[in-house]
Parts: sequence; structure tokens; C-alpha cells
Amino acid sequence: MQLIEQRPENRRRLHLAMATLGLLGLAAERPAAADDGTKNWTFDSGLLYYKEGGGRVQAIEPVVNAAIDLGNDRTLTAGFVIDSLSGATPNGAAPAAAPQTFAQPSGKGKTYTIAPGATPLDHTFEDTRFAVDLGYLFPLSSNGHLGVGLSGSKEYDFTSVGANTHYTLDLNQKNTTLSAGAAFEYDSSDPVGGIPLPLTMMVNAVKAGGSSKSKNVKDILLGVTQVLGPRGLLQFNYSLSLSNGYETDPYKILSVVDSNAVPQYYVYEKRPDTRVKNALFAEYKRFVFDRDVVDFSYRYFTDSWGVRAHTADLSYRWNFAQRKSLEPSVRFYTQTAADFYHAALFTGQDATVDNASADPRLGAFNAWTGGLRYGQVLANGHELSVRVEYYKQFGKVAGVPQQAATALSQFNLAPDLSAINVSFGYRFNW
Amino acid sequence: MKLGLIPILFLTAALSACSSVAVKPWQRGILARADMQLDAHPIQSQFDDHIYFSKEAASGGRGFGGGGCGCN
Amino acid sequence: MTKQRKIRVETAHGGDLAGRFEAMASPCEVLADGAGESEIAELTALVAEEVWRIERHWSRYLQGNVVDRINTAQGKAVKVDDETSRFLNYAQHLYEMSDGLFDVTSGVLRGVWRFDGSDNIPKPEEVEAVLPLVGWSIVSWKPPLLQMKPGMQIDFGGIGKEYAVDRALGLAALKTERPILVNCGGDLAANGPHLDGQPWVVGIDSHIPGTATPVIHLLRGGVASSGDAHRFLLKDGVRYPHILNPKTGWPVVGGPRVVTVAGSICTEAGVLSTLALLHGPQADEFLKELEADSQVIW
Repeated sequence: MQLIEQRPENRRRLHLAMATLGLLGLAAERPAAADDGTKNWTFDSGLLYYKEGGGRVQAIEPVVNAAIDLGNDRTLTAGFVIDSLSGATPNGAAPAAAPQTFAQPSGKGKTYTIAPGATPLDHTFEDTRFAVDLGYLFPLSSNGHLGVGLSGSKEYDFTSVGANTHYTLDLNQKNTTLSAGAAFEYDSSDPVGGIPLPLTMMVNAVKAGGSSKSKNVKDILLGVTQVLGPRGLLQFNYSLSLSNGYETDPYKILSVVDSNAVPQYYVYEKRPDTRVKNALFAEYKRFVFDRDVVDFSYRYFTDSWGVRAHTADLSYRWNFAQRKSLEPSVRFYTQTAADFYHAALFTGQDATVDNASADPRLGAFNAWTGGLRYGQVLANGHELSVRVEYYKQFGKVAGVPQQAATALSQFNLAPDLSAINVSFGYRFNW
Repeated sequence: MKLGLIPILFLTAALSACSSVAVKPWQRGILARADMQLDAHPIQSQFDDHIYFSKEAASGGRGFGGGGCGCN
Repeated sequence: MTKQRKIRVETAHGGDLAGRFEAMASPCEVLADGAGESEIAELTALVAEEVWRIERHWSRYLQGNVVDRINTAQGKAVKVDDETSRFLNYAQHLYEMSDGLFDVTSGVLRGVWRFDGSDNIPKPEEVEAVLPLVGWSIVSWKPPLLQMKPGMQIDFGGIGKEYAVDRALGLAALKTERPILVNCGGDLAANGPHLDGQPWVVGIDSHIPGTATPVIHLLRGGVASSGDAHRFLLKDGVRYPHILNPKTGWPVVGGPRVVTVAGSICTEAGVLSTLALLHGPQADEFLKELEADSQVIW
């Protein structure tokens, strides 16, 4: 027996079907003669508003992802992102007792001055990024699915294009799923004012290193997902990323200080031209109290730059009403500084180090995130959600040159960072 | 009275060996719930990935480790 | 009536929860994909109330309900409610569509036929005596008034269970977004597949020893079975199933043992399976002509 919906050609059958509907007197099933009106499109849209404390970075980011079900288990996906950033970001220099003046990266002679003791921030950041990705997912062999995709993004000083593929294999009646993926990306940096020669003195932001640099990134992802009974599942992933090329941030500098922590001059940073990243990830999800979902994940990360990081994430989705949910979440993150991270360099060190960066992203810190998400399914089946999160990084001082350590200790070399973000989501089928 | 062949057109997958963790095809109701998917909020995960990639050194694990944005 | 009027929530098939209750002499079950215990209990209560309501409304055994008033009317016209009126219109349609094979007045033949597995078939005269009391064509049906000859009886049993399943599913579907399956003793309906797209897997127990249980994968729609597994008479090697031809008063011999039909609605499936049995040896042709999605056990 096939038991799929059919449209009987036979008039008697049709009359029977219609008469039966009349009998039921309900807004019941679709009549046998109706079209199968399944909705093939799914739209998932969102808007992020992000704001750091202390006049730092602010961002607005609308996102739309669309998925089309082409039937026979094939899906086409497309995503668009617009990311609009503004605000101040640290330029890498250390605080000093006297006001500091820096040239803006454009090299056109404009400058900005930082108050004594304050962390130097460059306010000239304003950037809008556009990104697109396309994907196609289809079945390959009886239990496998293959996905292929292309991605691209553009902001005024950076372009990226990439391709990716992902294969999943269902085993054991879909209780175990193996997955393997690979991605390749080519990034090109075309910074304002040109590329600086690394570890050279910053003089009025004149840069002699050329106008653009590139790097490529190769990624591999291996994973296994295992169902643990009708209410739980567990996932393990390993990801490896190999990056080659221009890894340095063309806008970031370091202070070169004397033993009194007085900056003598500033140099552009330099990072190694390869980076190998490894991450081991595990996630556990369980349906509890016949109603709610608890989700816990942990990631261990190491890379060839000496960074080691642990991430733990816990969320509890409380489905307090049939179509409404409240989900508190908490995340803890800790990282060690990169080998070549320096809060500042001591005079002469800039000639001896292989690599140096004062980018806080490569420093040492702990970070906590607390979040609360509210979700609701509306009467028309559309899903609305809003999430608020508070993120705080607690900086840990590292990479201080011994000769200037006492003098530098009067400054806050590893300031905290706090940020709030609010995101809205709207999802519907069509 | 004839007893013809009964055409059983489908065999359920239930005929395979049971194990305590294996879930039969008709038991998948809870696992199929939207909130039980590994990535239950894809848009929010996308936002998170972007935020944490711009502010922290670690990346990857849940998905690819590369990134794809020139976030400063 | 000493029926168990309680619903219980149990674990079915080793995983999902099912709400269960007894109605219309059958075990009934409600499945809702991905629902937790309180949601299943709520939906099952809703389903059970509707099924029990229909059972009370059209039961042959309850005094004072519409069936009782009709069957004791002694030739007088009886005014019926909207739901019964819709049913009688439907019964008329089925009578015409089946050339008189489907007849809701055939219940009175139960008086002469006792299907207890013995060889007590009635004498032809006994059947002749009752035959004048059978026949929709001699009934006066001018909605909402039904008038029958004294001694005639109306029987809603033929598709009452399937109708209850459809109604109950419809009401439950208004309360939840989840796909639901309602199953009363093998007459069942579902309004959509599992959330992950997989069909409901249903085994049809034919109650005939020695035959395998056919398994149906149902995405949505209704399934009903008609058969003669338990109630029949056996004499001189001839099996007399409890399916009676209202025109002759005699069982339809030589037909299939079990007919299972799927349709978009359980009630429709029930009509087709009953009619298929009534067509006896021509059951297959009838099902083919009406393009019925069916499985027949001979």
C-alpha cells in the first residue's frame, strides 16, 4: 500500500470524499481533490545590535538566510549578511603617563590624541561588510548527504572568497551520524594607507610594504553524532585549520618603551605567516522533565601561536507554555596569551623579536557571558525570538618586558572589556 | 477458501537488532523537535560565532575553524 | 455500562508516550509527535471526550438517546439533531452510491443471525420474516424528520468508530501544532507525519492466526479495516461472515477475510472497506474501480 495522497479520477470516489467531508462538519483534513500545499521555503532572519562599554565598538548586523526544499531531500540555501561597525578599538599601544598622539591609518596626516593613563583607542573605525553564501545539499548513496557551498565577503579593506563541502553518513538507523567537511578560503587585505613593513617604526603612518597582501585558509572538520535513547544526543567534533600568508593586522602597533615606561616610538606588529589551529568539541543535549531541553558543550583549543583556550557553554530551555520558551545561558571562556604577545616592547627588543603583537585578542583573559532568550511561536506558525546577552572579558596581564615592568605596572595593561548584545530573530515557512 | 500471498510492500526497520541506545524510527518524535537539534538557533549561532571570532583567539569546534571575516 | 472511563498515559513502542482509553469496545490510543506527558494527557482527554460523546449519542444500548428514540418510535416521525441529520444524509448518499448494499436499517437482521462461530444458521423463513423491516428506500427521511415503519431499527455502528476517530482528530488538531495519530482498534487517522518527516508505522492485526501482520507506513490520512475474524458461522465447510446483504438478508459468502483501506479520512476508508466486503468475490474489482488504496486478505 502506498498511502500517499492521491487525487481520484473516479467521480464516484470524489463524491464519496466530498460527502464524507460534509458529514464531518469540521475544518478537517484537506479534501482528496486538493493540491498538496506544502511550504518549501524557510526564511530565517535576524538583527543583532552589539555595543561595547567605554565608547568602543558598536555594530548592527541584519542577516537573512533562506532555504528552499526542492523535494527528494535536496535543499538550496542562501544567506546574506550586512555588518556595520563603528566605534573605537585598541591600536595596540600601551598607556603612558603623558598624552600620546597617533597618526590615523589613512596616512593623510590626521591624528588623534589619547589622555594620560588611558588605553589608546583608535576611533576612526567605521566599516560595513557584506557577505553572501550559497549552499546545495543533496543525498548521496542511501544514507549519505553531501553539501557544497560558496561564500564571499567584502568590506572596504578586505575581501574573502571561499568554497566548502560537507558529507554526512547516517548509520545504525540514523542513530549514529558521521560527518566530514573541508573548506578553502582566500583572503585579501587592502588596508587604508597601504601595508606597513612589520616591526618598523611608525612615522606618520607612512607604509612601505605594498598595497595588498593575501592569505589562504584550509579547514577540515570531522565529527560524530550519537543518539542516546529517545531523549538525548551527543556530538564530538575535531576541527583543524591551516592558515598561510599575511596574518598580521596592518593597523596594530606596539609601544617601544624605556625603563620608565615612557614610549620612545611605536612599531607595527608582526605575526608569523602560518597558523595551525586545533579544536576538540563535545556537546550534549537532553530532553528533560518531559518539556525542557538542557544543552552543555565544551571546546578545547590550541594553536601554533601558543594560545590555549577552554570554552564551556550551558543553556537551559524552559518551555513554560506550549508555544513559548525562556532560555537562560551561561558561557565561560579562558585563553592564554600567544607566544609573541607583548603588552609593550623594551627599547631594542623590536630588533630582536621574531614576532610581536599587542592585540588584546591574543592576550590572556577570562570571559563570562550571561544570556536570556525568549522565543514564541505565533498563531500563524511564525517564530519570533529575542535574546539579550552581557559579555565581560577580565584581562590578565601578560607579555610585560621585565626591564620596564615596574614602571608599566602603574597602568592597566589588560583592561576589561564589556559588551551587551541584543538580537532579534524571525523565522517562517512560505 | 484461498489464502493468497499477502503483498507486504514495506518491511519496517524494526527487524534489526535492538540495543539500549538505538532508537526505532517511530520513536524519533522528541529527537525531531526543533529545540532538540544540535543547532537549534542557527541565526543566533551565526551572531555568536562572529562576536567571539572578533574578540577571542579561539575558533572552530562546532563548525569550521577558519572564520571568513576580516573582523578587527 | 461498566466501561473504564479513564484515560492513562503510557509509554508505547518503548519510547514515545501514548494516551490510552477504552471506547466503542476497542482500545483507543492517541499519539502526538514529540509531546510531553501533560500535553499528551490534555490531547487524549479531548479525544476521549469526543469519542465517548459520539458513543453515547449513537449507542444502541443507551435509553433516551436519539437512536433509542428512533428505534422505539413505533412508526411516528422523530425529529433528529444536526449531527444525526448530517449522518442520515450521508447514509442516504451511501445507500444510493452502493446500489443499496450499504443500508443503515439492516441492523434488525441481528435478531435472526447469531454469529457465534457455531453452525446455527437460521431457516430461510426466519430471514424472510424480518426482511420487510429492512430497506432505506421505505424510510421517510425529510430532514430533520425521520419516519420508519414500526419494528425497523437504525444502526450507526457501521462507520461510527471511524467517524469518531476523524472528529476527535480534527478537534485535537485545533489544539496543537504537533502531528497526531488517533487509533481506535485499528481504525485510525493522522494529520501529518512525524516532525522529522518519517511516517507513522502501523501494524494491522488481522486476528487471523497464521497470517502475517501487514505493516502500513502512514504519512497522513485515515485507515480502516473491515473483516470477519471473530464473528462468523461455519456450516458444511461454508463460512458465513457477519457481513449481511440487506437486500437478501443473507451473509455475503466468498468474499475476503479482511479489507484494509486508506483514504484521506478514516470514515471514507471505513465506508470503502465495508462496501468492499459487501461485494464479496467482487471486492477487488470494486476497490479498483473506486481507486481505493487497499490491502485485501482473502
